[in-house]
Amino acid sequence: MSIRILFVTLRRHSLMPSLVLLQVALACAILCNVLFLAWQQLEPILAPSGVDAKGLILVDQLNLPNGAWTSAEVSAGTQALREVPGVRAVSAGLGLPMVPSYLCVMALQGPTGAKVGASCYEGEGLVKTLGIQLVAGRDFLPSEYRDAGVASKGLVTPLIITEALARKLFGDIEAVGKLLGDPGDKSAAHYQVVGVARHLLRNQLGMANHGRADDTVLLADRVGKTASLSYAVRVDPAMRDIALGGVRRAISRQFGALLQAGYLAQVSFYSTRRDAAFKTRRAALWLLLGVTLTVLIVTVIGIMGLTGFWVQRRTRQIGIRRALGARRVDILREFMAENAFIVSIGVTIGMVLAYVGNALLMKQYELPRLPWEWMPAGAVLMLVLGQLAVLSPALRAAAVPPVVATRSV
Amino acid sequence: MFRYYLHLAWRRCRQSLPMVALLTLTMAIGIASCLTALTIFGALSGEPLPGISPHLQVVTMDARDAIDKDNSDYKRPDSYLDLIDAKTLVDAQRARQQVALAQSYTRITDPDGKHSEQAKGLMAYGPVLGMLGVPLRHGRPWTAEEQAAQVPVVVIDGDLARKLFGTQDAVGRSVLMGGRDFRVVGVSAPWKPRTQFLDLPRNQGDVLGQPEQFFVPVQAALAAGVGPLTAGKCGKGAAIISFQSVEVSKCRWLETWVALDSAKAADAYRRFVVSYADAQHAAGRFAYPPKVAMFGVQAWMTTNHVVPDDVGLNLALAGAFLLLCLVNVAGLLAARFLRRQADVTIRRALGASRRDVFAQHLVETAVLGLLGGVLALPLTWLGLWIVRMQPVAYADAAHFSPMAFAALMLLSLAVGLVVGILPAWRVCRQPPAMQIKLT
Repeated sequence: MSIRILFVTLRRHSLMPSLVLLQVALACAILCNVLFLAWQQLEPILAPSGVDAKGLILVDQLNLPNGAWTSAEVSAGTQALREVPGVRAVSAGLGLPMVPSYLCVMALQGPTGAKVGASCYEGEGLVKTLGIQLVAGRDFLPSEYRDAGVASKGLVTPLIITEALARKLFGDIEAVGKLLGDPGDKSAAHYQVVGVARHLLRNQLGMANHGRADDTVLLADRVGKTASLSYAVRVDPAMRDIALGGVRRAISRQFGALLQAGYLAQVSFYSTRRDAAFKTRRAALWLLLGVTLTVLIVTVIGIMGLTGFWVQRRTRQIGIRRALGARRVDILREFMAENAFIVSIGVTIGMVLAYVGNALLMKQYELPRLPWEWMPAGAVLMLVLGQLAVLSPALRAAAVPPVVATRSV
Repeated sequence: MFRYYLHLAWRRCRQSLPMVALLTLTMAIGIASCLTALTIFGALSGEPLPGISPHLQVVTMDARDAIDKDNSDYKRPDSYLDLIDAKTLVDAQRARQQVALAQSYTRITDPDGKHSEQAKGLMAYGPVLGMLGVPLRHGRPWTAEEQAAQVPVVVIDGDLARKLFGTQDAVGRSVLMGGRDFRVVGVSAPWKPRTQFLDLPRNQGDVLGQPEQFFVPVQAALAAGVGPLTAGKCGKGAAIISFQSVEVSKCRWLETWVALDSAKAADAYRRFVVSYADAQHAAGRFAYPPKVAMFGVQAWMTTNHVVPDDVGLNLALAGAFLLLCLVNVAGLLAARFLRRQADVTIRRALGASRRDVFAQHLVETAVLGLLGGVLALPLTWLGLWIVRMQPVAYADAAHFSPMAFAALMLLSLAVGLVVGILPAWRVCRQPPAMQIKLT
């Protein structure tokens, strides 16, 4: 009975429902895409760093004009930093977390044939200095370290990979001790996994999404002659501020006179670097959340306004139905059901629009495809929103007394 | 009649202030977000050098001199050439104008050593000022003879001249660059392209053009120890990364830009470069087939993603959001008009035509649209302010312009009318008799 009434009313007065429908469809399409964009900004921020951030200082931007640092200069720097009060461990590194000034990348191929591009960190004792947690295997042995950048023909290089990488490359098989290949040169195995870290966030933050945040590898490379130099320094958390000053002084004493004019060595805590590295992402995230909120508010206002008007127009009809025996809850339910029906059609169109919109954006910009799960999620959000928005007009409708039926207006 | 409708619209607006506030605010938010995105998009699209950059093209080819096992593919077009190739292309004079250039960043000091400045500028081989249209305030550009003889001459911009010498007219004075005296032959007006397109690998992260404070002939600069910002792409045996190094003999580090006036000239020039590159490959100087390609400024900027994706994405989002606001306002307006059906039917019964009723309601929505526009003004200003606060490379482009203001008023009027058509049409369709019977 009530379902038929619903359809008849909707057909007779199609303007209001179709406007609600259109609004819901548009809002659904916008929300699916905006939330997906926001998620891409959020993913690297939420990804666990895998390092012990308390008392970790990073030093980089040690740029030498015309040439490269010698091994002796690098180890003299390491030694000078070790002598700073409060310092517990020092590693010269090439490619360090949150330091994008030097990028080390490599391609790996597992026995299953899976290929993964990973960021790599090189440096002696990085596991200890960065505070990386190993879940299987061991740290590199001192004898395994070789000078970075020196070609290693025929040697199998030891690697420490992350749990996520191990899953991608080996599936469910235990990774420690297994060999890995290089997809560019399939002649022989190039790498052997000696340890597995729980997490290690890559420093190519733009690629730290879609489950690729942990695609990071540690190499048993000692920093030798290099043009770009950075250090990771672990300090006693209780003395972190004193140690930071000490590290700054040590760096300027050791390298200050040699540095390129106009360039300054960067010495700061990991947390400071992290804040700076995620600054644009956080800003973009706020913007997208602002858009989401505005879209939600506008949609709720629209649905409330239109339904409210509709209730007003049908006051007499509601009165008659009440006089004929419909309970308040029947009227309330009728408006809720009607809204659910309209919104359902709206979100169906909206999901198609979301997909089309995403496809158009993908064509223009480097954007990944909207995973299908996002669309039903957006649809459910719109349905809940619709029910909330309709609640107040529906309650007003339910409050219409039967006596209205006897009045002429 | 129009004035009467305006009067009516005004009275009606005053009757239901909360509703009017809601309607105009929704419109204003939609318009403001769209206009904010449009302002930034407008500032970053279009020609970096109006009238000049449409004719410019950059030469790209795979000019690696040795087989590189690790990266044998030539994935992205590469604009860097070594000095020999760049010089040969420029000396060939096959285009209207041609210049090889590289971004540099060096310290410039006055002869007394009192004033000194880290400055960004271009090292160039060829008539760089003429081709890029850099206006000169004083003096002249360097001559072909000076360039050939590697005479240490330099053109600095007016701001730098004032900082070093306290006056703009620094022609004839000398400055210290890389440990050698350079004679200032010209002073250029402060110059920067609207968006960055020259030497993009060394200007990564820049969206807006940055001022070029000096222009110096390549060979004289190298001889004095002034090098490019980075060494570029170096073969084995050269330093991997080095900043402002002059050890660039084994590197590809110069971009070659040419000015070509027609598609035919461009085609002819491309053929010339192809034949040159093929000859080098055949002679063994280039290890790979050169795959020559010429890029116009716009295509080059697109290929290198100079304007970040989020600029266009935000515009698309803002457009969709404005559409949502329009549908929303159309719905609320329909409800508002239909609530007053009784008034309409009385007017209709008194002889007003449908057209009159339609016009009356359209005037009302236009008034609401303009009110929305007025409200959108501070909101747009706020939006641009928020963008300026963002840590993005294009933040400086977020400035309110008179053009934007005109666009805003037009947009709001259009929004008002578009939004009003459906509700006004719906309300004027009411037959008069029905309503009178009902009331």
